[in-house]
Amino acid sequence: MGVIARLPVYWEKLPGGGIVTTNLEKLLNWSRASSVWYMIFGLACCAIEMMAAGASRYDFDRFGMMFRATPRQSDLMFISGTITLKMAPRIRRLWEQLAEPRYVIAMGSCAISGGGFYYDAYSVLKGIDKIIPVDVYVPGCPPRPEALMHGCLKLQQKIKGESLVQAFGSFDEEHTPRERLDGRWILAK
Amino acid sequence: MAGSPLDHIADKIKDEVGDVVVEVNEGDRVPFLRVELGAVARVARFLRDDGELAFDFLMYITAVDFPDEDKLTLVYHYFSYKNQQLLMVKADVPRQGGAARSVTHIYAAADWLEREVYDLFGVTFDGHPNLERIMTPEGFEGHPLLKDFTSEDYVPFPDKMPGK
Repeated sequence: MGVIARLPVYWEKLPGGGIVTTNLEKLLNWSRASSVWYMIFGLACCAIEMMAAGASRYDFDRFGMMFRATPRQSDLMFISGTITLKMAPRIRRLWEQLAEPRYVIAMGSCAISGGGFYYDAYSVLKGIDKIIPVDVYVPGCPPRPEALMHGCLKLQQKIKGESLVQAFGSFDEEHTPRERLDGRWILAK
Repeated sequence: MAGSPLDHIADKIKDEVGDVVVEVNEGDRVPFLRVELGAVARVARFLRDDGELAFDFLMYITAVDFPDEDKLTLVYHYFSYKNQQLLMVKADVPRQGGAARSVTHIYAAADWLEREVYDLFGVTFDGHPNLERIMTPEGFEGHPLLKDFTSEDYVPFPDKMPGK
């Protein structure tokens, strides 16, 4: 009963049982939002906070968030740190390998805009949204695990609000920021 | 034999390798020897193979840019586990098209260190087995630790920062 009460369903009680009605979209989105698996992928010091959020004190597991060691089994990618120009094409490739529907959380100042310390560096990409689309931005330097957790809850909200066509529909190549990335840093296909 | 350990090393190099020590400096915070550019590899081999000195560990290679004097200074850090002794050896190279003899055949650790100096300062090393860029991305142009380096990816901070 406790579980059913939290499901996105309507439960009509009858003598000896009941009838549950729901909406396929809501049920699927509920299950997707409750099992966001993220990729083990750390870039810089923000990755330490991400690890702390995944470990037992903050415990991502209770949101159904488990880490996977390959992009092909992951739904979510944390961009946890400074993106160097050498790493940028590799991140783009990893993102392309993520199974759709895929989500990206930009974590910390560096992933959002190049960062306070490295913004004027010759070797740093000024924000991950120059090469891949971002769903949730979590500010901080680095963000505390609580902040990251808040970002994950926001992402769950977003997933729950999506329509199936949005999530599983045709991938709109034109609206990905691929062309915003100067071709120099993309690996040769 | 002179008093200090650095003088002793300089004298041994003079006896075994030749008159290649340009400067013996004990005034700076880290004492160093400055040797002729052509003798870098010979000095390295002597320092490693000499039984008494036994500098068996190449800790680091880097360079310093002096645009006013139109030179780069290569800096080699050697360490002797036997004597627990650190030795810094410097050598000046020209700023444009500077080349030094590689020490990879003496210290295998020099492989990546020399690639790093080549990548960031543009000094080439003759005899290096694979002298390619190691830090900067593929297709990068220029050598970023030279003081006159510019890049379109170098975006200065906005002028209107707090406190400016």
